[in-house]
Amino acid sequence: MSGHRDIRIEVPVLARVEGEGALELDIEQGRISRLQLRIFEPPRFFEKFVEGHPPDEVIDMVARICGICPVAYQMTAVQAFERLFAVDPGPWVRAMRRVMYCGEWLQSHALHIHLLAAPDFLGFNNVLEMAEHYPDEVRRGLGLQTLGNDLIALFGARSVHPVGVRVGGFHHAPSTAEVDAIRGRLDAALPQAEALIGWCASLDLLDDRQAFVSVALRHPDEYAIYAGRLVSDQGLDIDSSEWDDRFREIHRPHSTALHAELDGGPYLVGPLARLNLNRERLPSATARALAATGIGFPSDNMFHSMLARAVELHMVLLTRIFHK
Amino acid sequence: MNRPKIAVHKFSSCDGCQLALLNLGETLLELPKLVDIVHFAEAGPMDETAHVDVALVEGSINTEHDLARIRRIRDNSDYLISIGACATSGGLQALRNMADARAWEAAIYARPEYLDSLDTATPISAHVRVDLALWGCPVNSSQVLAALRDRLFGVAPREERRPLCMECKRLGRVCTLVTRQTACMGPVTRAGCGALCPRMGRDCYACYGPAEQVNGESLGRRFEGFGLLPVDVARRFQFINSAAPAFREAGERFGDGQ
Repeated sequence: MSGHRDIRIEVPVLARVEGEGALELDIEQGRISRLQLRIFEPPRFFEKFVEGHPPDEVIDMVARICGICPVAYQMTAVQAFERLFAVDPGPWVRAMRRVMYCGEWLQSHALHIHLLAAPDFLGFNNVLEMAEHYPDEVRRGLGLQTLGNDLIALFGARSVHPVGVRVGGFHHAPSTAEVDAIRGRLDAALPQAEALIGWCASLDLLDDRQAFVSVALRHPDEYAIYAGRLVSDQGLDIDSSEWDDRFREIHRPHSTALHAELDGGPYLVGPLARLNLNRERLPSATARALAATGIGFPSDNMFHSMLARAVELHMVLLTRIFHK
Repeated sequence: MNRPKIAVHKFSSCDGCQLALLNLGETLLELPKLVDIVHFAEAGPMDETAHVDVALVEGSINTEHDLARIRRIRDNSDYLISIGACATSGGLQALRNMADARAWEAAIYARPEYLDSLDTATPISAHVRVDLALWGCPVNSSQVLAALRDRLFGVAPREERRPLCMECKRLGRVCTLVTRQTACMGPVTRAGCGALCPRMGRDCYACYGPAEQVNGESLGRRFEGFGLLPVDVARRFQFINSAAPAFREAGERFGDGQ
């Protein structure tokens, strides 16, 4: 880029993102002088209005923080209460909550890749335009998204604001017939997920390397989704109860969303950070599919976060649903 | 064919009601054959000030900026549908309307002066005319598609006002209120979700808003018979749709009894 240009970019509403955000970017003499992601989504005050409600009501309330990731909030709340009450719901509940969470990753990753991100990489305004040129890829994506939603509904009756989770376990267990039906669909989707990994790796991406700190959960036996210790690639390894010792939230003038720092600096969470930290925990079939792309992890290329989503999507299809 | 133009607008919400469209799966690809989606930021199309035949509005009004936006959207729309609890009753965040909103801001945010936030979260109908209200937290795809179809075919929408108990009975579910003494809100809650909570063996928590003819006093007394304190009963009504008049009044009746 020229070293002498002054550029000002203002995007009042970002398209194809969850929630509401604006971008303001000033470049003077080829250097970024101001860059702000302005989250203007107004405050809704969950922190206060959950006060005074019994635990199972709170689990229903926190789902409403986000319609695309309600399971994440419900799982966090239910584990917080069970820790407070010193209740262990047992291995079956823990495993099936992870399965339900896998459903959320499956639908959210499929939605992100196909409806939000891929149109940008391929030069379309939205998924409907993209579908005219990539009908098979889009149908594959929408099918995977539907499967993820159905996996959430298996335990929660619906995929947006599911109603199945409670302190101590679930309100209801799925029937054998329901489990068998979805098990078959998960197996049948594996070749599609493998093709998706190859497709994401084949997109023409910038080689944009950046130095950043990855933070994620890590679990001794599995790819961490539901539980684990908080780790970073800079040596962090703590229990979630020690969060306040190392992390700090800051209120900036331009954004309703609080900013967070680890030991006073920025850090990355999400699929790329998770895969960077947990790649040894991938099931062997997923590790083989990733190896076939020739792209190595850990990666410091932010554009690999879409591939990381495809890898996690493959991994969650291998989840095992079983009966108590 | 001249397809009707539609817009999807978001205000303060969780984005979950927009998923009634984004979660359609392959049906999503059929939608452009019926309608021309001119504005839907989360899906991509961006033309917020376009004149449209139908506007679907998600979310509650929480800021000064929201007020100006919703008036402009109303001016630009022939037919406006509020989708979901936030747009139709104010939603869960309307719980702030019963509290000291400024104290809450100060308790959560280091610098409350940075915020653009009104003291209340209010439904779309508090500010502009709403032609059709779809209840639910979230609304489901069938409700939204039925509303669009009705509009496209020029027939009057058939609003569901019956209580959830009707739907639950038709599905042959066992009553959780009678058999397990749960504080099920089915008798006063609008049908339409498919009786999901009773099907899971638990109590309905009224995310579809008030049905016609809410007898909150009678149901609340029944809950007291199960051992709920008046404050617990009030909370059953003042939950996802706390600002819906029928629920607010029923809640106040028990909440004031302290």
